[in-house]
Amino acid sequence: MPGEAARQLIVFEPIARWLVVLHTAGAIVLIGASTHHFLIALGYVRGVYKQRLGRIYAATMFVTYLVTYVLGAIAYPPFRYHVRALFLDRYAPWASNLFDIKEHFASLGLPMVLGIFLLSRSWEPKRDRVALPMYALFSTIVCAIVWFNVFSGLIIALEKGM
Amino acid sequence: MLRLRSLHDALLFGTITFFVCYAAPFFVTIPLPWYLPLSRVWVFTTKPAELGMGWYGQTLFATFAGFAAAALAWVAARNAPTLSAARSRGAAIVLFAAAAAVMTLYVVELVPRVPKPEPIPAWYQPR
Repeated sequence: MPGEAARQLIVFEPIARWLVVLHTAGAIVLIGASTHHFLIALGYVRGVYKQRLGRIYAATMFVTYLVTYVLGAIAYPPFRYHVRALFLDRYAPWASNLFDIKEHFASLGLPMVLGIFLLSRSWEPKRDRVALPMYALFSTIVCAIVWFNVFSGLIIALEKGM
Repeated sequence: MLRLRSLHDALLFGTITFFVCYAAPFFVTIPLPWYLPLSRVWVFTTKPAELGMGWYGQTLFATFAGFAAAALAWVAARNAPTLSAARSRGAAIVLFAAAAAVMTLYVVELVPRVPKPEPIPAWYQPR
């Protein structure tokens, strides 16, 4: 059947479920790291400087954000066809739209995650608070994106998984 | 350790350029790399004729542009004076406005969208 041939053409399809499981595992670590990092940055605003922890959470967040992002990007083609194009676009368009918002927000977070990591390595908030507005802003937006994306992903997967 | 003023300016201009370039396909027609999952090929186009994924190319384009802007800002800030509190606050306000604008744009554009589903193939079995 021509359809069967097309079905076999989707890249990474045989391992897509495992990729999504790893993507979820990364998201679990990421939501913890970004929330802890947000609380550390909030501490900087209030004059409490746990800089060592801040550097650890910033590095953890940077690595897990990239790993989770790349795993999601690899798993995307089979999802795009089998889940989104064949099911969600037809039966749950709101979920398709929510997924697109989620993926765009994830990309928009990339420069800010890099910024948090670089600032955490180059700036000492206790000695000089001058970079605090950018650092606190990046930390807040990234944490909000991560929470939004984790729960959006959960809701979309409840509607139709891989 | 990186010089704070250079890093701050590089992050400011790099991030804003990333946001602008990421949102650019809404406003201008730009040929970008698209992945066609059914054909398993990459094409460089504005909009492919079959099911295509433009997110990869859009992110790559914004990333390259963001890094280029960051590099230019870094070089420009080499001999600039130390970062002031007023400049830092101003930069945060501009960044907040840019992030809010681009994220709102995506929400406003995508929430009411009516997606076009692919035809159901003969082999498809719901599970």
